[in-house]
This record gives sequence, structure tokens and C-alpha cells, in this order.
Amino acid sequence: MRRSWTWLLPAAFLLVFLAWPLLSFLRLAGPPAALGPWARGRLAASLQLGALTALLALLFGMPLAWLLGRHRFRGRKLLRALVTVPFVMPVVVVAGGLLALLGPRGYALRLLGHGFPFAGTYAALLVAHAVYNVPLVVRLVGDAWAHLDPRLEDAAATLGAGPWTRLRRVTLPRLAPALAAAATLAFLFGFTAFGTVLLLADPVKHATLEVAVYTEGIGVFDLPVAATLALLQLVFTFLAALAYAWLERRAAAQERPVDEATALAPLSAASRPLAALGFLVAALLLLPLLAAAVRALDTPAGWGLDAFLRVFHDQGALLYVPPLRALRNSLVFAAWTVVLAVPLGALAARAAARSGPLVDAAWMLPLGASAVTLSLGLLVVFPWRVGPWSLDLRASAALLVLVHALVAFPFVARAVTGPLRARDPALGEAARTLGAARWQRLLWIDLPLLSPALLVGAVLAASVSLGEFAGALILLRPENATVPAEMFRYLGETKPDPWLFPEAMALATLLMLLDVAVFAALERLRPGRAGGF
Amino acid sequence: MARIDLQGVARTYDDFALQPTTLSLPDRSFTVLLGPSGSGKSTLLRLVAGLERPDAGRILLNGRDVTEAPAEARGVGLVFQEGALFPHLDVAANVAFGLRVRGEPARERVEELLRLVGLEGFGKRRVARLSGGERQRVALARALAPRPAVVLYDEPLASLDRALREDLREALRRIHDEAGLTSVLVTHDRDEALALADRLVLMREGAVVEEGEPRALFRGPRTAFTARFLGAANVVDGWLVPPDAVRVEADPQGDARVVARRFAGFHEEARVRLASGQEIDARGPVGSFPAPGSPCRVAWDLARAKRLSA
Repeated sequence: MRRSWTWLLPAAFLLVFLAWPLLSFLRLAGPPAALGPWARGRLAASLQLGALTALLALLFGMPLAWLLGRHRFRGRKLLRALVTVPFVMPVVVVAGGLLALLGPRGYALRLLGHGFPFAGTYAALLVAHAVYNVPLVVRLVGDAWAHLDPRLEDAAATLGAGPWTRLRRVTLPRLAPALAAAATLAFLFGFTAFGTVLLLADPVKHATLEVAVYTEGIGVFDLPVAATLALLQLVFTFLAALAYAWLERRAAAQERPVDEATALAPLSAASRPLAALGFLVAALLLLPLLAAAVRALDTPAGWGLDAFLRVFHDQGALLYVPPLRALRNSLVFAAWTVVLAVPLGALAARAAARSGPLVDAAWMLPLGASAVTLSLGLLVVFPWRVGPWSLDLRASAALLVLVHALVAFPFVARAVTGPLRARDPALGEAARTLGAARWQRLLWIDLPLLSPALLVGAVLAASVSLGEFAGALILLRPENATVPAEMFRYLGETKPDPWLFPEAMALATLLMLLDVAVFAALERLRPGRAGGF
Repeated sequence: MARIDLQGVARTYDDFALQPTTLSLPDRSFTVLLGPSGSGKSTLLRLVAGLERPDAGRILLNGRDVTEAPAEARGVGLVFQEGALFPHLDVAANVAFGLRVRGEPARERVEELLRLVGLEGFGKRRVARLSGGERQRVALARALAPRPAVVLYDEPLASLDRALREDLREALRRIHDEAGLTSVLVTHDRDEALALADRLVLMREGAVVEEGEPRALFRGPRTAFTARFLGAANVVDGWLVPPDAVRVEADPQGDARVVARRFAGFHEEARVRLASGQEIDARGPVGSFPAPGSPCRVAWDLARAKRLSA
């Protein structure tokens, strides 16, 4: 194979904007022994939250994965798409929806007529994590399931294996890589939780490492402690990412996937009860989103669009910036993120497709570094000065674009790596024998074949940017606030204004619609399957 | 002892229906279900295996009604197309599977079977590393391991190349005879069917067209479909004319024409277009046919032709 240097560009980007700031920040780390008792408890809290998140996701995700992965029924595609919705929603939207449902001003309270603790409890945190990660299990495991050859279960049956034995000895072992991958990702979600903790739980008692890095770094401004905690988080995340990359390769190597049409069978009478359970789980997943939208229409002035109108006309009386401006800011940041992350991610994928899982894991690094750590690192390095040159980005919105691009970049790389690896090398060879030059092959063979994956990457990058708010919280001046940052202030606001909550929900609904529009466009545009998440 | 009786077995799907089918397959017989794709032969096999339930009719194994019994309770072995081997298990564990689920000791039986199918020493290999022929041998060993009295084969040789196919075909027949099995094999390949079958069942569009001993069917097909599908005879105006009963003579005034000629070793074959436009096959000693393109006259031996009954 020809030597290729294209990996240098993403590598240089990561070196300058990830490794350098990160190392400069982490260099400040003290010995773990210097941590106080609270800080020391954060690792355990993170590990616990990660484990519980994975457990809940598997428990509630499996019936749905089985339903979608093994059965053909009317509305299957719609159900599959709907179940995915919570996963791609920004944390502020899901958290807001849960509060609209179960919070102090929520519908559950109205229905029951008495209060119960939800906001600020660990249970609220777990519910939110389940809402996010059940879809992850459903998609990863369900899609893997839908491409497993059902004749192997048939073969086991003719050899005398009953339903339970078939599940245990034939189905689960083949699903193991997908199960483990989904569990790893769910674990990481819980392990690095930030927004859900700040919005729904007790930010002191339930703080994860990520939250602690934020409070120590920004609140207390104790950078050495923040750096120590960030380092701890990075080590664990990297190990998990490595495990994920390895598992994914194993999954790809083991069994030739079959066509979905051969794998799916009609629902039998015996499987109906479990199917009903699957539908129930799907409905519960969507309930918070529905509650947010309904609450936005349910205003002090009665049912109507008043809350939305106030969002557009509010000049920032309740808030720091007019909501319309926040919406515009969000879109601009998302656009820049796509412009930066997609080409870099594609080049990174090219390098990953040609080498081992270590490179895969290297590209995943920004995910482990987390938005909080990255933001702090960039703040540490970018009052940069050498001789007469200086670059102080602290006040610039460019830092946020960098953070978003860094966080989005692994998603693009991951979306493209799979299809790139699966590409039939014979196609390029065929084009060569037909006289196509390198650029012609790139333009006429590679790009059309990879465009679905690139599109997936672009959508993921946009949605990451639209939903991210840790970086926005740390880096932005109030006038540059994005919708999630604005929402965070809304939800944290204690003013007894009856318009506050409906207006926050209106903003959440707008963000939700924006995300749904982006993903609906994606579902329509991409032909067939392209890559995982 | 393993006798299979199908009594009016039918199964309907959205896009296909197996018509009520009645068949009796005697103990130790080797039955081949032959037909084009979509003829229902694989459905019939899956019904016997217990992987599908019939909508109507009964299935008896040795006189015992197993219609409602699931596959795992029937003790019927099935060899799938392309093997359907468990990718997460090695060769030995694949073969041992049926014994393990019954809690029976496996080691010696596995070795015995690997020897039987000519794969001694392959036990530790990964399934993904096997060639097509090796995969089918493992699939065969796996199906035989729990000592089923009935073994079903779903196009087991379809994905193999010709030499391997003939090799494995002989192995199938030998194992059938030695182990005293009752075998049912599904195929769309007539050579395979003729070589293996004690009993041949021809199927088309979800129904049995004709059944019987292969030689009898080949010599005296009762339907045009059987005649054509077995390649046994030309069908001309309701007559069955075996190719070797067709005589072709070069004749500049003839209204027929030789379309193609093929040298086949001990004999020669030709395809001739009649004045009606119909093409028929002829076979004779080397040198009996004019060159392709030649006008010719065609005659056949009426004593060897047969009036078609259906």
C-alpha cells in the first residue's frame, strides 16, 4: 500500500488544540493523595453512575432490541426512528422534559395532587440516563440482531436446543460484542455525566469527576485539584474507549451479516406480551419530550403559542440575551463545527481504516477529554505569547467552535471508519483498470460511496454542537450564549415568574424541532445503512 | 426405524403456498425433493424438521404424530445450505453442540465424526477459516453427532464447485448407507438428484408433480414438466422423444437446421430447430450430426417415443 500522509492534518489539529492544552492543564495536577475527601469520592461516584447507567440501559433496552431486531411488523421503521429521538436530543431538552413531567412544576404533581421528591435526587439522574441510553442499546444491539443469521437458531433447534438454550448458547454469544459495545458507551455516558447532574441531581452530593473538574476549575479556581480529577477521568475513559474499539472490530470479524429481510419474522402469538412491553418502553422514552412540548403550550395565559411569542420578543428581561439571538448563535456555532469537524474526521477515518484499534482509540480521545477539560485547557494555553506574537482567544467565540469541533470530530471519524473499512478494494482496482486516475477515483468512486457516511458525520457534528453546553458555560461571554446555555440559566432561575418555565420549555421545543429536522433530513437522504453512531 | 408420513400437509405464506401434500418416505430411503426455486421443496423440509408448523395436515415420524412438536423435540438432523455453522464456536464445539445440549459426553463422538467426514485434526480450527467444502463437512458431522434417525439436507452442495460437489455427494450416500439413515435432500440440480435418490419427488409451484424411482421417472415421465426438468426427453406435439431416438441427416432441401453441436466424449449432442421453430435435443455416436448452420431433415424412432399421458 502507498504511504499516505493525510493523517498528519487531523493529527496536527489534535496536537495543537487537544494535546497541548490538555497537557498544559494536566501538568498542573498534584498527587491524588493531595485531594480532599470530597474530591476523592468523585471517582467512585463516576464509576457507580456509569455502571448503573449501563445496567438500566441493558435492562430496559433489551426487550425493544429483541422486538426490533427479530420481528417484522407494521410501523417497525417508525418505532425504530422514534426510539432514537431521545438519544439525539440535547441534555437540556430531556432534563427540561423530565422536569415538566415529574419536577416541582410538573404534570405528575398536578395529577397526583401532592408533591414527591424528584428534582435534585439520584433517581432523577438515573431516569434521565435511562432515557438517553436505552435508545443506544436498542439501536446498537437491535441493529446487530437484525443482521444475525436466524438459521443458526434453527440449526440449534434441530440439534435439540430449546428456546432458553438457544438464547444462551447461540444468540447471546453472537450478540456479545454489540452488547458489550453498547454497555461501554452507556457506561461512558454515566461516567462522564455533566449536564444531567447539574440540571437534575445534587451537584455536590452526586457530582461526577466531570462536574468536580468544573466546580474546582471554574467555581473554586483550584486548577491543580481540577487537573488531577481530569487526569483520573481521562485514564478511565481511554481504557473504556480502547475496549469499545476492540469490541467493534471483533464484532465485524466474526460473522457475515445477513440481509435484514431474512432475519426478521412476523410476531408470533407467544411473543406478543414481550412486544407490548417493548412498545411501552418506547412510549415512556418519548413521554418527557412530549411533556416539554405540551408545557410550552400550557401558559399562564391559557393554551396557546404565547410562550413561543415571548421567546421571540423577549429582549432578555428574564435572561441575559434575547432568546432569538441565542438560537442564531447556536446555528452559527453548529455550522462552523460541521465545516471544521467533517473534513478532519474524514481524514482521521482514512488513517483509522488502515491501521489498528489503537488509532481508533486515539481519535476517540477528545471524547474522553470532555468539554469541561478541553475548555479549561484552552483557557490555560491561549493567552499565548512568543516574542512579538500573541494570540489571546479567551474572549473569542472561536474557542467554543474549537471545543465543539474537537468533541464532534470523533463522531465523524467513527461514522466514516466503518464504511471505509468495509469498502470493496476491488472497486478502486476496477476503476484503475478502466483508466481512472487517483483524483477521478476519489471523486467518482470513493466520495459517492462514502457520502452517506459523511452526511451522518455532519449531522452528528451539528447535533453535538447544538446540544453541548459545558463548553458554552465556561467559554462564552453572556452575549454569545447558545440555546442550551440559555436553557440552563432558565432552569436554574428561581424567580417566581410563572412565565419562566413555559418559556424555557418553548425554547427546549424549538431546539428539539431543530434536531428532529436535521435527523429527519438524514434519514431521508442516506441510502441504506452507514456506520454506527 | 424412521419412517416419515406427511398427510395433507399445507402451509400458506403471504407470497407462497404449499398445497396439501401427502407423501410416505420409507425407513432407510434416500428421498430427493427436486424442483425449481419457489417450488416449495425447502418449505416441506422445514415442516419435517419442525422449524415451521403446517396450517393443515399431520406429520408422522414412525407413526407418532409430531405435528405440534418443536424442532428440538423431534430428533431430526438438518444440514443447511452453506452450513449455518456457529461462528463463535470452533469446529469441535460445533460438532459437539447437539450432544452438549443433551448433557451427553462429546469428545470421542466428535473425533469419530470428524474422521468420518475426513476432517481429522480440524477440531480446534475457527469456523471462519474453513473452505466451503470443509464447512459442509462440519455441518454434516454436526447434524449426525446426536445420532438422528432422519437427516434432512437443504441444498447442501449448492455453494460448492463441481469436483467438491461430486466428492461430497459420494460421502453423503456412503454415510446414509452405513448409518442406516432415512435421508431427505432438497436440490434444484438434476444430476445430483439422479445420482443420490432412491426416490425422487418432483415439485413445482407448491405441489408435488410426480414421484417415483429415478430410473422409472427418467424413462417414463408422465408429465412434460418432468420430462423437461430431468432432461429425459423432448416434448413434441404431445409426444416424448428421447434425444437418442432423434436422427438428423444433412439435406440441402431440409426444413430443419442444426443450431449447435457439442462433442461430449463418448457421444455427440446437437440442438436442432424444427420448421415449427421449436428446438429439440439429439444425441448420437460421434460424427452423427452435420455442422451447425446446415439444413437438415429430422426423424425419430416412433417405437422409442411415448404418448404423454398428462
